[in-house]
Amino acid sequence: MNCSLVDTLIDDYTDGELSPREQGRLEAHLASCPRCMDELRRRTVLDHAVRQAIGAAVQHRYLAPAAGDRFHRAARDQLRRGIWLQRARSIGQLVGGLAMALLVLAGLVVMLDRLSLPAGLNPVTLLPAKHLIPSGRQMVEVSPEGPWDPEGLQPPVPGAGTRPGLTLSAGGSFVEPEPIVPGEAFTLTLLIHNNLPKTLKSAEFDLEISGPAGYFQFPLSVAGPLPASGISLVRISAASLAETCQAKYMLPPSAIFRLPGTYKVRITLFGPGAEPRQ
Amino acid sequence: MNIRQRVSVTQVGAGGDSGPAGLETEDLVRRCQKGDRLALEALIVRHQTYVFRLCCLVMRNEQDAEDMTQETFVRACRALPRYQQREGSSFEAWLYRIAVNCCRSRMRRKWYQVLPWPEPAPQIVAEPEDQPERKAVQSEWRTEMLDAIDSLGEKHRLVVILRYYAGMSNEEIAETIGVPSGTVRSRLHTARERLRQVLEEHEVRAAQRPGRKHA
Repeated sequence: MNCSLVDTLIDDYTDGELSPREQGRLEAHLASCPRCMDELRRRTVLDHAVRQAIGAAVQHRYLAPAAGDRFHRAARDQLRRGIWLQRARSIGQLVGGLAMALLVLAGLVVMLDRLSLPAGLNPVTLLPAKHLIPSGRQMVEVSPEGPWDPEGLQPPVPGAGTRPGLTLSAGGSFVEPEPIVPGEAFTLTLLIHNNLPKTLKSAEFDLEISGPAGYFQFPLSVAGPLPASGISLVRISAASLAETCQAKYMLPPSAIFRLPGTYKVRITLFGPGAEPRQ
Repeated sequence: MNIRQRVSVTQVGAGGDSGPAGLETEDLVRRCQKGDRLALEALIVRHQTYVFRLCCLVMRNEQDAEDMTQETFVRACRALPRYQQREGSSFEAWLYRIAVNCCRSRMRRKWYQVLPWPEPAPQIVAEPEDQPERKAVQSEWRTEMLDAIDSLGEKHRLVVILRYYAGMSNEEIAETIGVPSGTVRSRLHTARERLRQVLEEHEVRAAQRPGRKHA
């Protein structure tokens, strides 16, 4: 430590504002430097003189005898008022906190009430909301019988494509949206290939859906014409199943895929060249 | 800071018994926060003279200083239920900060003329035969120093009073007058340089004065 640094630190030293480490270094320097020690002495004398002068200026000043009582009376009233205000503030904070907690609780109840919880979940567990609605492919997947084809191609229905008559084309059935959101509308599309050299007026087929929500079977028919040696597109909406679904299972069609999981769909065609309906 | 030492001096007349007056300031504050009237009285008695003198130093007018002392205790008691002692800070520093702020707000509201420092009252000294000479030297020296403090200007004067009379640290002064602690350090340094010149001039004159020695 050099003398110029001491000059900058000596104020803080006499004011007691130095850290113990800085103080130790400064004192080590002072012990070996007469100039800085003399500077410290002058500073100490100055501090003493200023303190003495200021103290002497008011040393003889005293309050009037009645002033203390007056202060006490005025302060006592303010203290009582301050304590009352503090208590009111504490109560207000408590009430505000409780009201906030109730609001949050009410909001949670309303939110949970609006969510359609899957029956398989236990609402008591109060899982985070993102777990209450499964997302992505974990929701409802419709797969044909047999292994799922990632390209969405469905093999011809066994037995139907090997003989002349009506068959499902390759990739001839798909479900929209994919995956299906439980409880929402869906559409099943079929591509029916008429292998016969003549146009058909109509065709009949069975739609079977099995999965976590149960087994559903719908006898359906297509009003033609189905062109000869051509492919016809048939769309089956949830609305078209409504009447049958309600009559047969006493459920709306949205209940067919009401639970998340994997569903299997089987189409059985009846027509010329196909197996007759049982 | 040495505020606690100063307070113990003012407490001599009131303390020593088993009542609230004998309690530590922190205990008195806690009792006051619960509404203890005796503790409040003891707290005021313990600090009123010091607060009054601090107000005198800032305002230079006894009547105004007395008003500001009352205002200090009124404001302090209003805020006392919310008061929480912080580490490194004392109740006294908090009270003096209120006192200084009371004085400053009064001085802002009213045109204020800084009066000259009053002459001290005669005091009994240990050596009566030296009294006239000692008194003259001390009075002259004290007047020079106080005039020098006045000549520093309001900002520097306040910092000097808070440092040398209230015994506040740089941080406490900074918090009281609302400036950075570096500014406080700078103002103190400027003030000391000026006061050192006055002290050295006084020492030179005292050395040239035959038969007189500096008190």
